[in-house]
Amino acid sequence: MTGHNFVHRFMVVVIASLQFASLAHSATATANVSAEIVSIVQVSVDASTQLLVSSTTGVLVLSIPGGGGSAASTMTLTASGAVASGSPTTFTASDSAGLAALITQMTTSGGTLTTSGTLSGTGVQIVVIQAAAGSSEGGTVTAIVTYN
Amino acid sequence: MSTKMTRLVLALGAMAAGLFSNQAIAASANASASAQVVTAISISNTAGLNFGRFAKGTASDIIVVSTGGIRTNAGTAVLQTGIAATAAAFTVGGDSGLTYSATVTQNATAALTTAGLILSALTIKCGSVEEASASATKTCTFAGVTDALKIGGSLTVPTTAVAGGLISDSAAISVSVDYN
Repeated sequence: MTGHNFVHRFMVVVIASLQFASLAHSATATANVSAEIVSIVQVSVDASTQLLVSSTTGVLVLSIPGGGGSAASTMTLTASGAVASGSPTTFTASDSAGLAALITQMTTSGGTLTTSGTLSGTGVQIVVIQAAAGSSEGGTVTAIVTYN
Repeated sequence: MSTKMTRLVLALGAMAAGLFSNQAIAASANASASAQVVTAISISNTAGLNFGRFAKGTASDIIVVSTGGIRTNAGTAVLQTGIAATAAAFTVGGDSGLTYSATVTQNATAALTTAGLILSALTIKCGSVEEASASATKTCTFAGVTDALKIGGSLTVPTTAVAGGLISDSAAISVSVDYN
């Protein structure tokens, strides 16, 4: 009988717990942040004109800063006012800054005119709405311009 | 018993004693080995944080986009609808049931800064709870093999903000994810 057979032998219990988690492989992604600032819409009225308070033609001047943002900012222009009891009030409009096509899209509906189109570029653009009242009925016109 | 027989008995006894002693002091046990293989965690960006189009107000204002993509402001800035506001969105891939940490970092915003805008107060949402956590870490749990992570934020719009084209800072927000 050799001596090593008498040496105490211990088998160490080892629980090998392995986790193949990607602790060393975290992932990262990025996102962009964006915004667009447009000029404040300003609407002014030609104070020298009594719009729709007489049978004479009135002129409403809308001072509309351009979108100032993307190359093509859309715009909705709404003009509403009292419709004369006689022949319906008609609106014609022209513009001095390339908005004629926009204005010609106007349709008349119960005294409310709505159009939408594209404002391009920056800077102040003037829209002139000429109201040719068909009677002497009074009323007001409110022009609302909002960027979409 | 002869002397020869006596020696033989003694020798056998010694061998038996040695054998029994050896068996009594040896020890053995089994060991188990276990492993859990998990999917490598991943993240991809699917949408940016977009504050949309607006006109600055007569006083400084703060525009907030929630993690749900809802845009609000309390001041005089005028929110427009031409550009949809969106929360930043990420898809995180991993193993269902495991938790992970998402760390949000705000990076440089040169374009916003040039326009006078200040990005602040990022919010983060995974699961159902939105948490305000500027450059913070949030613990999330995979309900499936993917998880949706949304980042909202606040944008300060001072009266000195400059109107112009679409302002965009790429990689302005970083999100790092890792298993817990």
